[in-house]
Amino acid sequence: MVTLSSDKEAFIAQYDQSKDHLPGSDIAWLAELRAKNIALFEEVGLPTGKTELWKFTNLNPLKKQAFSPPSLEETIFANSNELPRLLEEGSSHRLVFIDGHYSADLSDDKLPSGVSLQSLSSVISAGAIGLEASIVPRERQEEQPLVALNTALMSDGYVLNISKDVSVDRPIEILHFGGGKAEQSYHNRNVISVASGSKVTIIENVTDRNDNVYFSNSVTEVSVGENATLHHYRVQASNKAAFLVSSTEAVVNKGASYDSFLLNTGARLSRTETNVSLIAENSSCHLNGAYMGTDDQHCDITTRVDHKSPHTTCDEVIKGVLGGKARGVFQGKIIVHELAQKTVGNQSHRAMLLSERAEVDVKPELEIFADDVICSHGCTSGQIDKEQLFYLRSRGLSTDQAQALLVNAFLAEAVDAVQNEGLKDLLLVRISDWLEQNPN
Amino acid sequence: MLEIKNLHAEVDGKSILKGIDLNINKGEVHAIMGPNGSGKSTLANVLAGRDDYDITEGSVSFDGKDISELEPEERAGEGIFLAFQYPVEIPGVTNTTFLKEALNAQRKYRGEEELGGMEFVKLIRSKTKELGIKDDMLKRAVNVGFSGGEKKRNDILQMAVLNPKLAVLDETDSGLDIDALKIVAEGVNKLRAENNAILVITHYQRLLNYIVPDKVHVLAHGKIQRTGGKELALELEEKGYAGYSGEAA
Repeated sequence: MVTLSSDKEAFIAQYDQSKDHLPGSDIAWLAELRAKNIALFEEVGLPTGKTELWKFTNLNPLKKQAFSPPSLEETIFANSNELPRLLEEGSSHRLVFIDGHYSADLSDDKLPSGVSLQSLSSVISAGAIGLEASIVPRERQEEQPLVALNTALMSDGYVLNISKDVSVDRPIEILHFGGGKAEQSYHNRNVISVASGSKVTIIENVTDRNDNVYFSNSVTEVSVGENATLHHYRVQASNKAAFLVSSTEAVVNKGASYDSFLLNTGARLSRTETNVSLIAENSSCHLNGAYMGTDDQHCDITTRVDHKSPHTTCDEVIKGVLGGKARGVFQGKIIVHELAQKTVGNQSHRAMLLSERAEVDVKPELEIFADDVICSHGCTSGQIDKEQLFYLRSRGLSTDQAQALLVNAFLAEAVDAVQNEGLKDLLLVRISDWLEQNPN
Repeated sequence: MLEIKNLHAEVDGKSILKGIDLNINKGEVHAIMGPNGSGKSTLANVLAGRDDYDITEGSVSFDGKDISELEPEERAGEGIFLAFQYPVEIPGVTNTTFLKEALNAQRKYRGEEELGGMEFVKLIRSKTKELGIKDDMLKRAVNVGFSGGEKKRNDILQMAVLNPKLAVLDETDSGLDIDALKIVAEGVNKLRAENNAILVITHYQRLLNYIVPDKVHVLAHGKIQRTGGKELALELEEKGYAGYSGEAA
């Protein structure tokens, strides 16, 4: 297979080369959708610093690599025990993606009743029935060229439907295991639909098996039905050469809740974008997270919450710790539409810088068009408190130990938002492990 | 145990201590009294090894070892404990975690075996009982939301658990009402022993009614101006520091 450098033309060439083999090339509406999206991508190009939404995240390092589409060869894993898992065996339903491809053999085959899960490739090969409604163009699609690129190139992903009034007994853990071959790109497309009155926890584990460079550009469309609750957790611990870009768009209905948490320790460059529309009364969202970066890692968390209806609530608490030359970016937009009276929106981002060369850029934005709302935002960044450090050292702790204790406590506060106890414990372990490996 | 000779120290380039001589032996309680700005707290911080407090001349030795170049945590390991004038709040870290990490770090420094969970719990329970401190305090984050008195008692609990050879109490009485003062003093008295020593730094005499010193030193202008027995504190209470303020540094 020919590999190409990854500027705009390279991705377009990749599309031209593979369009006849992409899943659903024989389905007219899908082929047309892909063509429209590659045209949109061609028009807009890869995001640059000139785009307001990408002001602080520069994709130039990506362009220096040459990515090829994922190969379709069989996976090399004999059984699923060789693969990493977050929750203990038996305490989750696990689905496995290897290098962007769904592996039925390695995934748990028994899912509880009321849970339907199919790979995107199998949905498409079965005629893509029902898919058209789930991948409609987003609002402001011209601002999201990477979503367009995903739509043009998507070859796999998952389509998860939870039926009405189902409380899924165990979390669904989705392993995205990358890095099998160097310089591949995966454009996964996922659809999560939780019907009214249901409850489910989805945990995405984004990791890999070596230090290969790869580019994951995933897009997830979420809908949460009336009075339903979706806990959507994401643990990104990929290697420090990977590029991880993801865009999740959630529509939250009356009385429903979208609760997300991101723990990010991985990637050379990560951009995790979450857009939530609270479209009916008493809908709410929690967008929480913690991130740690070192060396020359770049971690971008971008969120947008649209309050479109009265009595909607959003809470956002994000904490970051940066050492080395790492850079953190937080962009958080809250838009309260004219109709959305009695809205409550609280946002906070706090960063701790462990080295003088670490940097954080933040852009909180509140746009409020209703007059009876309670909104707040706060962003702080700073070093470790010297008084606290001296206090701990005067009791016998080394500087490294004292720093680890303080940073741990700082991040643990953010992890407290995670509702699943097993996952919460695991995240706390991940944080202390990270601190041990990166004393900075 | 503690031998300070001709100690000169500066903070941010400003000379504060100008030749202190002080010897404290095992089992003794010394008090340093002095007016504001005399260098009392500087001495405490120099002993604990705080950054930005630089020794420019003289020496500090502890059990015969020069400690002037040691890091704060090494001094703690050697057995020096500073009770803070303003104990620091550490959100998110429970007292138990903090005490266990601190104790084991010190034991490790001294080449002693670290305490396991059970042994530690046993030790800490015996200390809270001895000091009359409720166990739920252990689960709370270090000093967060504590009253002034609680913070000082928490420092005394740390002292009890860490069992230092020398405890330096830096204006422990500041901000305490008389009841809290008594409780803290009682705690300190329980920890008095033949093998350890206490250095009480205070502006006021009243703490010394409860922690009775063997020797009292008057510090002014960065030097010890006078040394006497416990009666010296009473004299200062009566006459104030006026007699010392005019003396040349």
